[in-house]
Amino acid sequence: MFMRTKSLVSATALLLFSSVASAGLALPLPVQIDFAGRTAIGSMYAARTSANAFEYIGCGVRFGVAGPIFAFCQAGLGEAAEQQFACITTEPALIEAIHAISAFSLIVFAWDEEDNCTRIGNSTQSFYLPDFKDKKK
Amino acid sequence: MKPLHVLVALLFLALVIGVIGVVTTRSDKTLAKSSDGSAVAARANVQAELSSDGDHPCPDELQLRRIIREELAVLPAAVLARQTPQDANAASRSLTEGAGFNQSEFVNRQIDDYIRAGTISESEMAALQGEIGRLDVAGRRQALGVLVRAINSGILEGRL
Repeated sequence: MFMRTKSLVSATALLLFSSVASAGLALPLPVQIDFAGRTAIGSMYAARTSANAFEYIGCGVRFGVAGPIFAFCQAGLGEAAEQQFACITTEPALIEAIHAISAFSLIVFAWDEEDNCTRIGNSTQSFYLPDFKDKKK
Repeated sequence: MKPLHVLVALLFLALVIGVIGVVTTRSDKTLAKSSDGSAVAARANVQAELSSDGDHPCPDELQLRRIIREELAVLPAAVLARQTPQDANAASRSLTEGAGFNQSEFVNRQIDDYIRAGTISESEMAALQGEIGRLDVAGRRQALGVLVRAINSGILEGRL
């Protein structure tokens, strides 16, 4: 009886830990906007899968035949204008930074008092990726 | 048909033709007079322009000067600073910058219109961004700044 119980506990523990181990580290980073500090941060996947229907973050570039026209980054946490923000830039270095953003990147950007982007960063890490084995309904 | 009836019909026809002839002649005369009048007015304008000197400019000239002064007043100082008499390409460059200036005015007017309307659709935004893309970098920065600040402040509802 004792052996049987022990085996059952071991099997359960193995099953539990193996499933955790196969998922890897996950750090979904929801969107945060610091209007006073003029920065926004968040992972696109966390925003897209958020329970908050107004949460978003991202950057974009507009090109003309002569090259980039301008770029922008934006983030939002609510429907009201005060809960959203967008900055723009025509600086080639910042536009270049946007090219490195991938679908599951974490994005961080900052802006000045004129709403010009002053910093655009991204981080592409395994812990921002979705659990592809997790089949959501 | 009686001969009397034929005679009456012919007289009526002649009367109608006569009336039409008179009306046409009067119209032609009026048109000719009007066109003569325009020509005279145009000649008078040309003569006034030719004869006007700096001390006694004609009203049109005054208006032109006022328009030029207004446009020069809003030209960026940097543009004016670059236009030196020594520059061999000054004329062609000022033409290009003049075109840029007009495009800038056009774009800014469009942005103002959207701000007044309070909303800009996705397609309108795409078209506007296309127009912004035709501006020089300084004009682009200025227009985008106005646009993004309007969106951020909530007075313009739309997405970049």
